Amino acid sequence: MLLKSAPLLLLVLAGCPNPELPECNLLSTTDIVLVASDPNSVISDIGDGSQVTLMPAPQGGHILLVGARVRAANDCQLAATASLRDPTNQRVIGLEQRPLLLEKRADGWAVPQQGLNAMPNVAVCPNGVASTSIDGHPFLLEVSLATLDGAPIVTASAMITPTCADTYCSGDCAAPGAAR
Amino acid sequence: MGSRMRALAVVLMTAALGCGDNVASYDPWLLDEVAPADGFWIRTPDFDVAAGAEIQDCYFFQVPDVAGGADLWVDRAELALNPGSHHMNVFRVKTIVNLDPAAGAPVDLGGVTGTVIHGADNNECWKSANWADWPLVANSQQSEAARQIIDWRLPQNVAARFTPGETLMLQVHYVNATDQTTPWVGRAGANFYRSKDGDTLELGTLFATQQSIRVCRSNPTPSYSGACAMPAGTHTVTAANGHFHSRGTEFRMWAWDGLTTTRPPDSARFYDSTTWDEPEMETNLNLTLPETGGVWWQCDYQWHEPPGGCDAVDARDPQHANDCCYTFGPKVETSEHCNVFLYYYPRVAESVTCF
Repeated sequence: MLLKSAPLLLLVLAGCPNPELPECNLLSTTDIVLVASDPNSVISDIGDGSQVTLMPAPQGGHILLVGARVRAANDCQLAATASLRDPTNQRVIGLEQRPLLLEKRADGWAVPQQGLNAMPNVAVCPNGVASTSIDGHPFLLEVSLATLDGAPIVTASAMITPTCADTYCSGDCAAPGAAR
Repeated sequence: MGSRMRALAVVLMTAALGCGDNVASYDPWLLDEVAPADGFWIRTPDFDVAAGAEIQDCYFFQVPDVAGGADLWVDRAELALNPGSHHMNVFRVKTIVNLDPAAGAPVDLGGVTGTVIHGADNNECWKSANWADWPLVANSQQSEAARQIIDWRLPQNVAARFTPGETLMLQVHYVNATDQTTPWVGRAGANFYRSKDGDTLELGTLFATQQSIRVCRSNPTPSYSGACAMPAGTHTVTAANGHFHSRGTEFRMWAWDGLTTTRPPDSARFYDSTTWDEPEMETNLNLTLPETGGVWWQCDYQWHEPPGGCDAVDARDPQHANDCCYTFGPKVETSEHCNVFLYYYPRVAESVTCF
């Protein structure tokens, strides 16, 4: 009987709208690990000294796809702001704020979903304000998490090195004023 | 046929159609033709926008030599659109990727001749990566029947500079569907008037966009923010407008100090639009940005069910989530945008872009 009902059950489930992703109920506000995605959607932890691959963006330019993983009870979302700061002049050379869409893993960590939309796309190339080329030079990455209403929760940062995977990227990420 | 004659013909045709059948009268925009001594002008042909259609065409032309070989300084522009337009953008053509003016069909643009690539025939006219490094010149999203023309006069001593022979693209987008309608025919035009009072400050432009946006049934009210830093120096914003599609509820811009990673205070806000289809082009802003700063912007969205159902929206979702997600793209009916058009002086770079 149960087996006979399975197709109907599947049909009903398929027709259900996806439930709204709730705001995260963090199990700890101190457990936060910065992460970055590569062009193959492989998400890795990053910290001081990490090389982070610059990714081509749909409309042109190159971005860092970065966020954080946290301890949470369920699949959930927070507001995330990610920025890249030039340590030479302290200027923020790229910044984006968007919903950080997280999926809970069995180990208790909620990790960003795969895809360009699930964590901040920090547009950094081309860039008119960096003191040097973006590719291969250290910059300060900062990720701040907040409630969906904007109340700050936690911030993490690391000195990372954005890295190009091809010569087109290297040209796009050249120092301001350099020939491209 | 001159533009006035064309417009008159359309009026007469529409009047004839209107006899006894209650067709609303067509009151087209009219712009004077510009003598070479005063600048240059362009007019697209009239074109039909069929029910259910979205049309985007890319017109290319060269800046005429109307200043004896010298650069042309322009301190006033009139930008005109028939009702139903989603936008017109003018860019300076730089790197040719897959949208090549030479591949277009010859077209008479009134004051100049050029080529046109119709998006219906060549999808490259829809792909923004093709003009990623093409500096913005001017834009309009204003096509209400009562406000079809923007008469944009730059501040005293400010002008946009053009080189004779440089190639420009006029891109025109029309919609005749559920989100926007085109009651008559599509048509765009622009007049660029020479500066005659020795303006010395060159107008610069900034284009910024939020990519990878996603407005879904399961996440119906997302917000996306970005910040765009200007090269060091003192910059004064003179005009701005934001651009998104019908899920957009509020578009805001703030002056930003370039150092802080939290949203600037309300006192720094200089643009706020809750009108997605006819957003205001703010002019005469006279806003000096912080010395090492730039602009911060935010787009807020409210998902709503597409009138025709979710199939077309789901079909273009790269994640195939079946969640009726509007994602980044140019089509008004099925995708979303979050774009900043900003005009400042003095120009410090060929183009300031953040995307």
